[in-house]
Amino acid sequence: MKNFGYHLKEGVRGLFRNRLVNTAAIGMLIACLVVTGAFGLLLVNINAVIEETGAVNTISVYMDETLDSAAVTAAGEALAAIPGVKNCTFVSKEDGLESMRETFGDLIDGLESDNPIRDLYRLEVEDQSQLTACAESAQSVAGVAKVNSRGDVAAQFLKVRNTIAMIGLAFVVVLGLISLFIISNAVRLSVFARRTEVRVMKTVGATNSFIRASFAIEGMLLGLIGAAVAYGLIYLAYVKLFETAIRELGFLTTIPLPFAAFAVPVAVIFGGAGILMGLLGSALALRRYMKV
Amino acid sequence: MIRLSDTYVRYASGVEALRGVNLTVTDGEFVFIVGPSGAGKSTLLKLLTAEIRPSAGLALVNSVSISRLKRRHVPKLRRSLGVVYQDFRLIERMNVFENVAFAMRVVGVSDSKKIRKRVMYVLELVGLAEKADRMPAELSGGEQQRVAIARALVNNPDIIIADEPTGNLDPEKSRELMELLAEINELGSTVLVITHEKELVNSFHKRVVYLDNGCVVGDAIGGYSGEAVE
Repeated sequence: MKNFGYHLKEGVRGLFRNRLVNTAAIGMLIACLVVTGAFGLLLVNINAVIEETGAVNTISVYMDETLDSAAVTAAGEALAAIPGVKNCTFVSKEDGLESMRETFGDLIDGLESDNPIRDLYRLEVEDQSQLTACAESAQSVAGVAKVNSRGDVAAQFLKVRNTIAMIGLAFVVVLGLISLFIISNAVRLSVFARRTEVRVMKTVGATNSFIRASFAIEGMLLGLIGAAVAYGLIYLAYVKLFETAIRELGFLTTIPLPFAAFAVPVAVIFGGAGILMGLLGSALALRRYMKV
Repeated sequence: MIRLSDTYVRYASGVEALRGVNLTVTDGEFVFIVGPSGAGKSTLLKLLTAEIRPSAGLALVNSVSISRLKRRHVPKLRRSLGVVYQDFRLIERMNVFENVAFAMRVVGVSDSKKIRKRVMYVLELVGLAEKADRMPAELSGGEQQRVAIARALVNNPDIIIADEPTGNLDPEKSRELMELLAEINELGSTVLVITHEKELVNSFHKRVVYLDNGCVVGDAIGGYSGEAVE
C-alpha cells in the first residue's frame, strides 16, 4: 500500500501509452456491459409483468351465481384445504366491480344494480408445478362454476423470458471473451513498452506482486472507464428510449420499472465486472513475464 | 559467499551448459570469470541469480541453496546481489537519480529522505553526483555503465556481478570502470566480473576463473591465460 501512489501513477501513464488499443479495449467492454445491462433490465421488466399478471402461481376460482353466502364460504374452506394451496383469498362480486372501476372508470356506471361479476376465490399455490393439479382439484369442489389457472399464459411468459436470457447469456459470453482478449493485449503492450523496467525490477529483487500491481491497476482503470461509460449509456437508453416506448404503448401499468429501483445494483455489477475483467486481462498478460 | 560443488546445468534442449563445476568465492573476493563464447559464463550468471536451477550438484549463494529456493524467496536472494549488464538497462524516461532510486523503490523503500541520501551517496561513489539530473541519453557509454553500477550498489548487496560490463566501452573507459569495481571491492563487496577481455584482465592482479565448454579449466591469481591453467 505504501507504494500505491507509484502504482497508480504508472497505471494512469499506461492508459495513455497505447491509446488505440486501450480505446478498443474500453469500447469492447462497453459493448459487453451494455448488452449485459440491456438483457438484464429487459428480464427484470418481464419478471415484473409475470408477477403482475399473477399467471405463474395463481388460480382464479369463480363461484356459481346461484349459491348463497354459506355455500360460498363452505366452498372457500374446501378450496383452502386443497394440497399445495398456500393462500385462499375471497374477492366478492362487489369488490370485483370496484376493481374494474379503477381500470374502466365511468364506463361501468349503472352496473351496480345488475352486477355481472361473480364471487371468486384467488388461490396462490406453493409452486408453479402444482398449478394444474390444484386447478383440477378446485374444479371438483361443489359450487365452483369456472376455474382459470392461466397456466398456458405462465408457460408462454416463462418461455419468452428464458429465451431472452439464453440469447443474452450467449452475447455476454462472446463479448466478454473478446473484451478479455483485447484488455489482455492492451496490458501486454504496456508490459512490452516497460520491459526494461520489468527486467530491472526482477533483477533488483522486486516481488512479483509489486511488478504486477501497476499493470493490474491499468487493467482495472480500463475496466472502470468502460463500466462508467456503459452505465451512462444504459441509463440514457432506459430512461429516454425504453421508458418512453413502454409508456407510449399505454396498456402496461407495472412496467417500465423506474431506473432508480436498480441504479445501485447495476452500478455495483458494472463496476465489479469492469474491475474483474481488467484484473483478469492483466493477469493473462503478465503470466509469461512472471515465470522467471 | 558463493559455492558450487559438482554443479550441472542442462537445458530442456539437452545442451549441458555447466558440467561438474566446482567453484568457491569467499566474501570480499574479486574474481574474473573468463572464457570463450559458449563456455557457460552466462549460464553461471543465470544460476547465481536463480533464473535457472542446477540440474545436479550444489549451488549456494549467500548460504541459500538455489536448487531448494522457493520461487517466492527469489526476490530476497536477488536483493543480496547487484547485477550490472553490458547493455546498462537504464530506463530512458528516468533521469540518473530516478534510475538509481527506482531500484530502492521497487524493493519497498518509500522514505524519500532515505532514498535521496543513499542515491546521492552511491552516485558520489561512482563519480556522477553532478549529473544526477541528466537523462541517460545525455551520458556517455562509460557514464551510463556507472549509473548501472550505482543502481546495483544502492540496495547495499553483498555480491556485485558484472556481466561483460565493458563490452560497449573503449579501452580507457573500460579500465576506469574496472578500477571503480576494484574500489567497490575494497569497500567490502564481493565482486564477480564476467568478461572475455584478455588485456583488461591481465592488467589487474586478481583471481581469474577460466571456463570452457561448461567446465572450470583454470583457477589462479594472475592473468588471463586463454588456455587451461592448472
